[in-house]
Amino acid sequence: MKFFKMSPASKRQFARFKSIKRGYWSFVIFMSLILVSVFLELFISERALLVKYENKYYFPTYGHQIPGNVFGLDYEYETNYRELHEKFAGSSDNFVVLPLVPWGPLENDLEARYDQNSKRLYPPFAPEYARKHYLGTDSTGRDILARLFYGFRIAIAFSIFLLFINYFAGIMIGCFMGWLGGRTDLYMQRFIEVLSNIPFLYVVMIVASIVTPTFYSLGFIMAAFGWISMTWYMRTATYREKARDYILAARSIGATDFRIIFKHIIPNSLALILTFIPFSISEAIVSLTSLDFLGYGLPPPTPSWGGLLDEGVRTLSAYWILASVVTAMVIVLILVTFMGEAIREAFDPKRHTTYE
Amino acid sequence: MRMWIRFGLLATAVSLFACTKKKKNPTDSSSGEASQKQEVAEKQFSEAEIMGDFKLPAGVEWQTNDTDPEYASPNAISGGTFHEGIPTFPMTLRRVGPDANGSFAGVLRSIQLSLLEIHPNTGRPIPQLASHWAFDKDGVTVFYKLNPNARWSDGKPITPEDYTFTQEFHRSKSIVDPWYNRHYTENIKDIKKISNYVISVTGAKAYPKEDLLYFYGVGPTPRHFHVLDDKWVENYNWKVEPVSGPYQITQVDKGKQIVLDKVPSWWGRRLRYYRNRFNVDQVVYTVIRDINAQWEYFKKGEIDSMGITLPEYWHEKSANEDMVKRGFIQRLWFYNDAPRSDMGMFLNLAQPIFKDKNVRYALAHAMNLDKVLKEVLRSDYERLNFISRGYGDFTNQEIKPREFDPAKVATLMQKSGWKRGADGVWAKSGKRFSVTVTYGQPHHKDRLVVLQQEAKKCGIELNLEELDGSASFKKMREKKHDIAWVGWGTSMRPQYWEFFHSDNANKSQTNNLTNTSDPKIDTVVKKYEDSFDLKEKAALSREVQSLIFEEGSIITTFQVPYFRQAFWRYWKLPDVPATKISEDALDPLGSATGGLFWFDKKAYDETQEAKASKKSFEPVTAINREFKAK
Repeated sequence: MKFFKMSPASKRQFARFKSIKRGYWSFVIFMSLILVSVFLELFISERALLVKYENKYYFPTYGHQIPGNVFGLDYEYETNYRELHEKFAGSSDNFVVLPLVPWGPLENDLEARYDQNSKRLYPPFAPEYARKHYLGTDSTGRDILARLFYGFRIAIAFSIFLLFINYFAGIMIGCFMGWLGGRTDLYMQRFIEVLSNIPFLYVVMIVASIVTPTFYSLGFIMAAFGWISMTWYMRTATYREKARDYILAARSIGATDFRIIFKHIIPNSLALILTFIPFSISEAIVSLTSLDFLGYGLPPPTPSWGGLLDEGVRTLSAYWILASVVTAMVIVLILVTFMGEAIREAFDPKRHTTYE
Repeated sequence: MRMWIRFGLLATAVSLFACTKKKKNPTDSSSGEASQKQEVAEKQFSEAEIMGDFKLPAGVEWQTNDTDPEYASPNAISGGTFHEGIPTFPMTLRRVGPDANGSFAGVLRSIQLSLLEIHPNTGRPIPQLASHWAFDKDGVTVFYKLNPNARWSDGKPITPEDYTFTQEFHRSKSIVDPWYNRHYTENIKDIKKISNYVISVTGAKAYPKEDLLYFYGVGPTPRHFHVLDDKWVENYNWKVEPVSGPYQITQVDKGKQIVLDKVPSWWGRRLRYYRNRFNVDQVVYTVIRDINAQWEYFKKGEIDSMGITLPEYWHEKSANEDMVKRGFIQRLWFYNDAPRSDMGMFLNLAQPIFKDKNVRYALAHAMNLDKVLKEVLRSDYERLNFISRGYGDFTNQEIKPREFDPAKVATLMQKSGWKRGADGVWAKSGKRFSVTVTYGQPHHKDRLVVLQQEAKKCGIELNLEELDGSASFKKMREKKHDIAWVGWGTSMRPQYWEFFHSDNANKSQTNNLTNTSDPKIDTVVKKYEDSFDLKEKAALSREVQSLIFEEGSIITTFQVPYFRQAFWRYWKLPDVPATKISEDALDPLGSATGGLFWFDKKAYDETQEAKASKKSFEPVTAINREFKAK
């Protein structure tokens, strides 16, 4: 990890970042959210964490499904651990440990409920503590909390995936343009201008109405237009660095182009790249959510914030749907913005760089 | 599908004799000044004037229908403006050509009449622009005696030339509409002027007599209005065509609103079956893109009626609405008995996995449609037993759908040598039972996700592929789907050749979505197509249904044997508020089922007053089972 070896400057920058409390804690919370979402099955899942049955221990969370007949139930499909939990409630030998929220994001809880006048109720169901739907259910009885978190996981994974492609392409092409300059730069600029004038949201919608997008195909379609902005910045940064004396020095001792770009130019533009990351993430989350909201995103039944938002708007009387997803979005976007601000502040070149 | 949507509206004619016989009708409500003027204009035509030199061939008789019951209310009074919301603004006002088959096409088609209409309650032909009809002995030609008083809305008489022009018009390349080009070339062979007011229509192929009227029904096209040249499509985009029906477009506010006014002294207003109908003076269609927004407009009284068949609207939104509780808005639940749309899952037999009949049966047994009905659709809709329901004798009532049964799924799959994999899904020689459902209706997502979860329990992975409506249909017609989730339009008789004959199997752009290609089915379908005897045809129809059921290529889903509607209390309906085949009790235009309601000014004033004074009326929710199918 020589790349990330802390130089005194980086140390100062990191200290500065840490000293901006709001940004730093946002960063900590956001990272913990990501960590939770990586191991989400341990917190929110229809599968039990641990089952003890006839002196054997089972850990159903990961791996293949365990059919009901393994636990002495009369069906061959996947065990319903909530029912199993109730069944074992009386016995001391067998037990089931359920996650905090024992509902998967795709499960329909359509069990009949009645109001005080014993009128049958239909989903969406309001939050109910007894059945552990802490934020209620949507119109097909799926748990909102589960869908929110699984939706978050997909959104985050998607933005990181998109971030990597966009930044990789953007940085490469930008450096290439800036370093070579001249004609190459000129032609590339015109090409990018043409490309950036294509309304990308429409393109995604058109494509999505013809073929159902998957996680990766949607990522690549969005990346096809997403790399552009990073390219401009990197092109400028390369031009700037190229004119510096240390590059001239490196050249004069015979360093190759490749070495100069990777050893000098990119590491010296890292501050620039880093400050953009949080905003790119929030941008990706918002794009994915809006596409899902419009029905052009990931196919159902993928849990998504856009889908929840759409449903919330359609069934305003079930206020808990809209309230949950809007709150979640606001929180995440605020966290990202605070983080972004703090990073920008910490890397502000005015504090660390002196121009000759 | 397009074909059947269009056919449904191509129905057919008007009665001279009915008109001359009833000199003065006491129930005729339109007795204003205008109609007195018309009284003078309405000429009596002698038989000789109508028939000219023409005599029917020996043994051929004129027929008409002036004995079926009327279904409008004699209490109806005219007046008022009726407001309705439409989801999109039409892309053109043409009835044919590019972009003409949009959602507003229904309105444009229903203001143009045809030779005959079908009585919505008895199913028998009734006069419209033609008063009489006669079947020639060749089995493909029908003679029509036109109503000589029929007028276009611009006052010009409707002549036999307008009918012959219909054929010329629809065959023309200028209209850029291959479907009509083909229909008027391959199906309708000839429209001939016989004498002053008699025409004949010749079809390509013999049908039972009643069906001839339906399948070869045509209407006139205003010859004096159209200039067929290369520019026709552009020139006629927004031109308002003269109409033969009771309403004419008078204002077009592009992107926002279309207003239709009643044609002054409409020529047909005193005909049996048309009197006391089409009572409102003006119909206003306003674009309201979103159904939720439409509901808000409706609650304010800015639109007058709204379809609320969706469970959520009937049980929640309207039931909890203050305006409904206070009796300002009334609700109607009306059971109709029309042919049912074939709604279901059409398995593509060309996909390797569906080659095995057991697998197809297993899939049918894994679809927990009852659960969807009970838990998502609130037991509101009904299970559709099989295709071609609601066609009387043509429907095979013995067929009962394959019910949800995980045990049966297991037995069938094991019989074909499949085993459950570690992920719980059936597998055989490295292949998993994972199939994709292609659908184009976003609001069916709720139903499909439940089916998906239930299928998973049965060891079947059901993937959902939601596409835009037209993209999904394109994919299905290209036969690229595993399972097509669709509902088909209906027709007068069940159609089998286009859906199940091997002529249409494994070919792109045909309606045989299952790729059914079975010599046995072919034979019966061919026999069905060629049969002239209704009884025999019905028996063959039932046989086709049982053969297809046996094949297991279709899992039928739901039917909605009614419509539900809400409307403001100052709109009044007849005692039987709609007809056997109605889908909207407050349809202002439809020539068979529309225009039955009227505006009650007194109730309107009373309502406006009550609105201001916080007064309430008795809430009204009517359920009508007059035509409920047993």
